[in-house]
Amino acid sequence: MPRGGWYSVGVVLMFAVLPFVYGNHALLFNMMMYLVLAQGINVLFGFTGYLPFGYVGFFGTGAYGTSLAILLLHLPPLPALLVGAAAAMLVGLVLAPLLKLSGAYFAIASLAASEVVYYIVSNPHLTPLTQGPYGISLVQTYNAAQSYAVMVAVLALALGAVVYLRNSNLGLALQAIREEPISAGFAGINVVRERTRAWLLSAALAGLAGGVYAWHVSVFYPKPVFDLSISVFAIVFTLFGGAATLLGPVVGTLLLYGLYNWIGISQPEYFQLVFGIVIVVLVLFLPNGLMSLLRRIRVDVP
Amino acid sequence: MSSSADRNEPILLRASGLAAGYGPLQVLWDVDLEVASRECVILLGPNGAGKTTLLKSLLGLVPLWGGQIEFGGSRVERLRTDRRVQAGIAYMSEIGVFPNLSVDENLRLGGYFLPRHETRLRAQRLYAKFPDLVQHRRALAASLSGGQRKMLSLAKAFMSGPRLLVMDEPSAGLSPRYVKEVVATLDGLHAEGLSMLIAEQNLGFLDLADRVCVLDSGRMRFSGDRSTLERDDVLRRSYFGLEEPSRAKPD
Repeated sequence: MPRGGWYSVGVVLMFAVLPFVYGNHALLFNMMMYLVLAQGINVLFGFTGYLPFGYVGFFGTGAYGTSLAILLLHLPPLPALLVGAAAAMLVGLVLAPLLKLSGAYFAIASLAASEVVYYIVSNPHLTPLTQGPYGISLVQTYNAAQSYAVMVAVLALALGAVVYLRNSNLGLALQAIREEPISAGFAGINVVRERTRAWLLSAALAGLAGGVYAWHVSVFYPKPVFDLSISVFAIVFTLFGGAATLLGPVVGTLLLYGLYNWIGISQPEYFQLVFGIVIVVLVLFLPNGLMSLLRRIRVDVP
Repeated sequence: MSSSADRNEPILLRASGLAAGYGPLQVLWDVDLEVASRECVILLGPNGAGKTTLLKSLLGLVPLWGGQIEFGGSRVERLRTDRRVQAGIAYMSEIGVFPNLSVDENLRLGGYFLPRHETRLRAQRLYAKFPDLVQHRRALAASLSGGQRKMLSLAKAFMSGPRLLVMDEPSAGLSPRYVKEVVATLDGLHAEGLSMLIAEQNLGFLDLADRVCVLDSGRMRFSGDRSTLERDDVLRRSYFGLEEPSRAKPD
């Protein structure tokens, strides 16, 4: 088993079994969704250093791509999900030139790009195509159990992708690009091709998560699936646990999304306070996340 | 010491009429440069002469404004950097290593485009050649000393199995003891038949040279052997003025 493989199997099994013993399936589903998104952020930020604030754009694109494939092409949900993922990758391909930007410029440009996608999708003039601002209804395909099972599969895929990156030459090349793109070039790495691969993989994961989310909730408006807070959550979860590791984003999501559900919904003002303190402490004392604590005591974190 | 240049060796790298610069600023003016097989060429020149720009333009890290570059008989000036590396030019910059990756990972990256078993084989061979690195295999490159880091970046450049090793100031940031060690290592590689092009200001490296080139204000001022250079009063004063050759030479 490659490094981190058993942990991934454990996490996937946990979410496959938990619905039988724990009643709050919505929490489990959302947690899996954020695990996938956090690993998607991890693929891009952890391995290549690009921080996409507009990551939710791929999520929304996946949600809409899947929904429109069901509504307009009359596809069953599973092939429709592939359409959703392909749509997200297509948007990723169109936006690939953004990778020429670096740091904050990339973060802001990706945010702007996701807003552009949102305004196109929600434009009232496109109501015949996208239902515009009136939202999507997929009641005819609604199936909570099946969509939950498919999210488990998508989670397995996301974890598998990161396990692969943690163990492969491609993952190593991406980290080299993150460290020093020019040096990576003269190590014989095709910088543009490899970072575009990571970008598209990351887009596909968000697209799949968005598609399964759309199928699971089956009724939604454009605003919530393009909501910036989805990006922010996924980014904070990843950074909190520790990017460029498999376990970091998992631990970050379980802890912080757990916290959110524990006090965030009943007492949002306390949650905001705790969340804010956590972020400040993180930035000041643990810029590389919780996993860097383990590394300090020389534990090899997968 | 270094094997003498054999004039019958075929030309490996031939750059002619190179012009390059940054934005409106032209840095290289009609530069010609040749490196033969098994030859070691030392590129001298004061700070700002364009040495780094010249080396980078050979690798495609600085776009050329004009001129052509032939390597191993084929034109490479339009190739992407990674293609030129795959063709057999290795580049060792002043940074040289990825500090947040382990020694092992750095080496694996050096042979990135090779099949996996080949990478492993070459890494083993290099560890035999650089015994200092073996005990630090899993350590982050950032934790190595300056000298070890230099050795790692040399080993990393070697992973790709280059025919020509291009180096930018290998002495940068090294104590005199390590400079000697690096020179000795390079001498060994040179004796094995590797071609080298080294931009340096440290005259200790002159002992490796089959030929010396002097770049000044972006133009090639001199190309010939070391003794001719040392006899030339003007050149000697311009390029050895900062540092007395006798003091910088390792004994």
